[in-house]
Amino acid sequence: MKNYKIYTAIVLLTLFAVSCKKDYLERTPGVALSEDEIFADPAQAARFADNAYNYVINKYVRFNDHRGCVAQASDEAVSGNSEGTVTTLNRGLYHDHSNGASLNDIYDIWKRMYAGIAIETKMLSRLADVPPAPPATVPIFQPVRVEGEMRFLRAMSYFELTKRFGGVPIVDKVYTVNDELNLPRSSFDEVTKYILADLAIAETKLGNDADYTTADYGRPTKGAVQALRTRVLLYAASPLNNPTGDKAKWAAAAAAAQKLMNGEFGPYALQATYGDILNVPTSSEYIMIRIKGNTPLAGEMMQDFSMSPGSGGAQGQMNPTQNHVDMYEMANGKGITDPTSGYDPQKPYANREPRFYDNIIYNDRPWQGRAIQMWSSPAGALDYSTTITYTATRYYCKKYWPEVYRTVGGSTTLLNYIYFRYAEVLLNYAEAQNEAVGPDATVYTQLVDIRKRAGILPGADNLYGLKANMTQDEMRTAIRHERAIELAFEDHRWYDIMRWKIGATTIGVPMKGVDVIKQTNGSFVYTPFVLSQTFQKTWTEKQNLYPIPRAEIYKSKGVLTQNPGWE
Amino acid sequence: MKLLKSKYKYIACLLFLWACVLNVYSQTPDEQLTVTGRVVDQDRKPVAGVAISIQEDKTNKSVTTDADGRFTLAASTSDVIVFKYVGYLMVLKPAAEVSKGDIVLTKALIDAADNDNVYIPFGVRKKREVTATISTITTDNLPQIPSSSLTNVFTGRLPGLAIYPSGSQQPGYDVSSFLIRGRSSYNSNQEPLVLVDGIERDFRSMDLGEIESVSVLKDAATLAWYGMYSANGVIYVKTKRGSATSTSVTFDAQAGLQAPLQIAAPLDAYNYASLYNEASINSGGTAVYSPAALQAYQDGSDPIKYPNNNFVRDFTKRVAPTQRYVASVTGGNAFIKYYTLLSAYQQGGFYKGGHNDTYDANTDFNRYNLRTNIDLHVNKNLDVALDIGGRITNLTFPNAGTATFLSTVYSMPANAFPVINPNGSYGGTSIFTQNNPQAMLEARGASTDLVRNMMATLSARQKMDGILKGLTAEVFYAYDIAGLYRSGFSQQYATSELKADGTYTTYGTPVKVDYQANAFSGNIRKSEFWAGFDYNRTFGKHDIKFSTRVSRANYASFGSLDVRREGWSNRLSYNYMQRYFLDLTASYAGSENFAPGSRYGFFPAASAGWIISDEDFMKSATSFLDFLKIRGSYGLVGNDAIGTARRFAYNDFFTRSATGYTFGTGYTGVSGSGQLALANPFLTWEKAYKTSVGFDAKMFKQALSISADYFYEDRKDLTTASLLPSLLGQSLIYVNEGEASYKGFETGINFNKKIGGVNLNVFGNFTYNTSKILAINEGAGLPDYQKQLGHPISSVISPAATANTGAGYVSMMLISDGIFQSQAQIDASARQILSKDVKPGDIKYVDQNGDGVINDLDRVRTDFNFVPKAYFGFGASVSYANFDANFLFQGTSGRSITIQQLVNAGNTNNGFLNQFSADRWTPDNPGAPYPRLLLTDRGNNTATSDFWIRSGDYIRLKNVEIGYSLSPSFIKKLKIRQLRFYASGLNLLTFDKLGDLPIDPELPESGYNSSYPYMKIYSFGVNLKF
Repeated sequence: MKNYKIYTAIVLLTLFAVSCKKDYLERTPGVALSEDEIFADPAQAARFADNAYNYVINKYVRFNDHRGCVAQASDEAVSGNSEGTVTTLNRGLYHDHSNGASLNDIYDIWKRMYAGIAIETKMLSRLADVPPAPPATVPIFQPVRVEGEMRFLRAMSYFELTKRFGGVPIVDKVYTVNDELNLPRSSFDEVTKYILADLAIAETKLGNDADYTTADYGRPTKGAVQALRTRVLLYAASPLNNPTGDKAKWAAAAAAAQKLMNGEFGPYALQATYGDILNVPTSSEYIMIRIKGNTPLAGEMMQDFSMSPGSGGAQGQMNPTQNHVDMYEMANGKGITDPTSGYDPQKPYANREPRFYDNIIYNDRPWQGRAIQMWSSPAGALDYSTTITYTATRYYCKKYWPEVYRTVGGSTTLLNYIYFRYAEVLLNYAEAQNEAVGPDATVYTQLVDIRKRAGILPGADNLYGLKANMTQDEMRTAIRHERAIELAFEDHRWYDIMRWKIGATTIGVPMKGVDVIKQTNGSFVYTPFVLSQTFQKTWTEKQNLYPIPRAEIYKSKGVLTQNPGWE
Repeated sequence: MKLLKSKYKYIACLLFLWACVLNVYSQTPDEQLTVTGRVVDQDRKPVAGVAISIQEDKTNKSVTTDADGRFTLAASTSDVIVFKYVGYLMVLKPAAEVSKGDIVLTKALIDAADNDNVYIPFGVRKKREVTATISTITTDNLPQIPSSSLTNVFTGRLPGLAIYPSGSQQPGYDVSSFLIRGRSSYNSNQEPLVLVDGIERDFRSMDLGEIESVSVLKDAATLAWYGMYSANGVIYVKTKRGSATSTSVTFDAQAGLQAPLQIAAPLDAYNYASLYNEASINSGGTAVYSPAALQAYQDGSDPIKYPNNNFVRDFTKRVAPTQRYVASVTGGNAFIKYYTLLSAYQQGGFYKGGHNDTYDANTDFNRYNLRTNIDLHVNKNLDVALDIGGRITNLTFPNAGTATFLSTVYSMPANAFPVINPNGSYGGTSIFTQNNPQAMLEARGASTDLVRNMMATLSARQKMDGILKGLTAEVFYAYDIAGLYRSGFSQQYATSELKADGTYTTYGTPVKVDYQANAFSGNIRKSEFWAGFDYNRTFGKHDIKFSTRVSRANYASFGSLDVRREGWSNRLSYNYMQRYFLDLTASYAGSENFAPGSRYGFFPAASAGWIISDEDFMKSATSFLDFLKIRGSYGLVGNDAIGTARRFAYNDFFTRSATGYTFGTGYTGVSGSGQLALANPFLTWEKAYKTSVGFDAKMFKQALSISADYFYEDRKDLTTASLLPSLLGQSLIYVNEGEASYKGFETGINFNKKIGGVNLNVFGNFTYNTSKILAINEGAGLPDYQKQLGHPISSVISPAATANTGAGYVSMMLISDGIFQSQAQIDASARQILSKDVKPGDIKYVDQNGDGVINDLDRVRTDFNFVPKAYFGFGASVSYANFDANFLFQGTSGRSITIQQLVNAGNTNNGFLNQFSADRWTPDNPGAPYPRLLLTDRGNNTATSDFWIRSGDYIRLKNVEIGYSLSPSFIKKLKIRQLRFYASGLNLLTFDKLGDLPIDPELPESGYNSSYPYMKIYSFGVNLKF
């Protein structure tokens, strides 16, 4: 009888213990940090700021996790295996692209840029809360530099938005969940103004390359601010955004570029070689690049995207078009349509200008110790078959496929994403100056410098193949052509086409490849042909701007308006 | 490892100890005594003719009471005396206690006899007393099937419980899902809580022999006990316990053969090449295979240059073996009862080909289950129970990966390469560098996953009549651990391709076989504690049962904070005259998922029952009706598993693990501190308001019983998207603004009759349900035909991603309108821009918004659903003399499946060709079921549309068992109580609406793409009882 009293006592005690410890479910997530903890610690605050860089575009082959790129949307290339993120752009199915694979150029960019903007705006608003870092040779947190970086990155985010969508809503303060955030779109000009204002402050906060240690290489500098400014002003002056053709806008763009060229922000210069422009750790030409170290073979894009299966690639789907190939001039700087250029359609790859060899892999090109084999007949070519894992156009892209990449014995190499390089500034200047003033000597100088570095022969007149005394229109064509070649596959062409409004003549035309037949004597017969329907692209003028993601329009209950032509 | 090992040692020691205890009890010198007494009924009238025996007595000595109810019996102190009388409840009494007073026998009411126990959470009721909706099946009625998943056995057996295979059927996985009644949350598939002896445990991998009964708790009346964790229903598994009335030793041995229900039948080389040529030409290319090559494929003249493989034939077995052995010992006496089971199960894989001396890469599954349940009657006030279960599973699989191996076997073109080259090397090509199935089995290594589980439960009940008559206290503690250990052999191979010039090109680098790095994972520790009081007392015609428990659970795995739960559950049952019943259940439960201050919820439920047949007016009214109970319940149950929201989602916080960013030419990365998705401090649990009304009836001398229920559930506070613009730059954890409901009915029927020498039992059950979305956040501008609001919670499962659709649940799709037969038709229709080129043979779509273009605005929200509207089962068991037989049909209706991922299966390497490609549209075959073949620009014909939807309705002969028992007179000489031989089968016959389509309606992708096939099993067994 005594027993149960003891048990009763135990049970009651247990119940008592259980019911009294009220915080049993209180689980302070000890490993996670609160917002105040972040900004109370200079080290954490610095990490918070650095996290903003993850929201900037940082690779060329970004669609659907390195399966497509904007070069394939433009006339530069086609997607050999008809990747959905590319074909949706090719067919004008932009909403499908927007809602398709999780990495795309419309909805993802919209979300990603605003996510970055939120971080940058929050960091700016909490800048004063971060206590001074303890003294050290390399300070943990530099409020001045961080402010400059945040403003620069925010400007860059808004620019990526205006480049694609035109005017977008401006989110200029830290919003919380409960704030009314259904903002209307600001006009393109308003957003541009906002970007320039951020850049004006950023310029005063950042240093030059020389001010930073090598450990900070890759952070934006005054030079990067100015390079972005030239690009922003150039886009603002372009036909898409400057329907009245206001010359003052062009002049502002030219002046901005001029300041960089004057060396005000550092001694930038074209590097001696063009062929390794993506593959060097540092360069006098780099104004800002994405630092990512050596890219392994199976990494971002090579094995699965740009390499021929003949060299161990899985999907050789990055296939430059004949349209793009035909734009490369001859070594003497003359276009292949020029009867005096010396172009032989049956030896199409002889004597082309050097950048052709730097950008394009073509049939019979020596490559990795052998010759590239892309003939369709007789069967058995190593780098071409009708299977769609091989090239559709009989070209591969050298810029995305450095020669060291091969399955057996392959090694890694640098494959930088370039935000700004000096050649672009020169081209920006030339274009703006030609529109503002006309094809004066300074315009010629920039093109000549670029073509000289490329390795085009100077010719008797030292104009490197350029026609002397061009009209403004001729010069415009020459500059656009130079830009297409110099900046090929570097994320420019597609957006240039949109801002120049030249889609109808570049995208809406037949996409071509070349058929190669190997003769019994070992020589080749080349026959350009129009690619199958799969690779053809459609163009309508509404495509000059992307549609605002439809889900955002739905959510806004009519506050967000759609771009013209898009439903 | 060490920890686990020591645990097992510990278990072994414990078992040994218990065995000693057992011995000690039996060896205590017993006092002999003469037991005398009187047996009376409830009205204190003596009962004559009561059979009285001693438990576990080998001599089968038995006496009966005389006319005065008196008896005399010689026994010893350790004996338990058993009193049995037909129509009355059995009474057990320790011999020493018998003489202290009259033995009272209680008349058994309908549904309240000895075997009418229904187990409810921390309690037991007679079926008669139950006011909630509970369906129970005891395992005596189930067939013995050598399947690695118990769910196969329960499919179609219980009303309101849908069981469907939902993933890999690979040995050892056999993934299936449960659904109780219907779906009322669009955020999850509403998997119910599965409790084994009151604790959340895996029940699929138990051995059938361990289980006494399985109950499905469906309405608020029982579920409210579990407060926030049981809104999706509970499957309550009760394990077998020892018997105080009989000792028995049983042994079961079964051997069986499994054969795939459906498996891919790949194209031969000739057909493959011909179709490839057609696809290539359709895509604007030229024929890839020359007539000479086609001829060579047909005549097999050069099997090296023109191979014609059938990988399915060469690398899979038509049948694979399986076997199961179960031994159990059960028994007990007045002080101890025990049940011990040991079982071994083996399921062989169906891969064949390849040989390696070091390992066998064929998949193979072994499972060993151990269970010992011990009940100790320590003294007349204290009972202690100790249950220990152990499980070891051993799964071997090829290192190439089950999915990779199967997709290679199913979908590698027949002409890809010779398996073995003339020089003895493995065949391969530049696009199939590591796809040689033989090499995968013999030169790619194999792994073994060893999973060890230990489950222990200790409970003690103390009677406290001294404080309050009828009061008992109980403490209950469970501790489970599990761990996975992977080991095996690694190896790599190279493949070679014979070139035209006689040389070989080699792909890959061979690596000799070696031990692979061992790895631990899945280490889980789970403990649960319940304590409280029960009060059971009868006052005249009033009967009161009250239970209260506090509980805490802790679930710990490596690398994260342990998950905790806490609750306080109460239940009050009252009945008057065993005719009017009322139950109140209420719990107060908390979840760590919610903000302090709004962490605990109150979940009440009420239910009532009325045995209307006991009323005088009914007794006179109907002669055929023996029993009729009307019952109903209403209550609130919560669900704290609110979808994919992160843990502690009420709290805003930052992580240090944001992706790093690299600066500097030294390429040193810096990590970021990123803000996680924004918190919602008002986040709360889903609230399920459940209504259930029904009846139980018995008719015709209790031969026929029927139960039926109408149910309705309204689930509020479902989490739904926040509709915040992306401008915020942050995603927000969901908001509780959704609502959905389901309703329907379920019924079960059972007919039991002995006709002459034939024992006949016929049974059936049927459940029907529909759901409706009542509130969901959707974009305001979304066209009406794309909204989910007002639709059922529905989707079809698209397990594999295609070019244009992701994997997962799909309910928005284009509506198809057949196949274009001519260019004129195309010109007259809306412009389809999903592919660049639309030609005759392509799928035609309906222009939903009439804008002349087919794009994403033409997608329509559909009601195609993978959850059936109705599911049912029916069957019978018959026994006559020494023979017995039973069968079960099971089926669903109102269910949809998609075959898109089967017909469009493939990749660029095999040209998207498969066995279904033969039925493609061609100008000569305009009535073909599938569109024309294409290598590229396939967007139009692979878009998600109703073109690919098929009915998932089926009726399946789920199992049949035929048994023969040797006659008792014969086996008595062998000292055997029972010897039964039986043959059984699983998934034997299927009737569906798929026509010639060779797929399984239950799991369409099984046997295709990269899925292990769903198996039918034939087995033979022998059952021995001593």
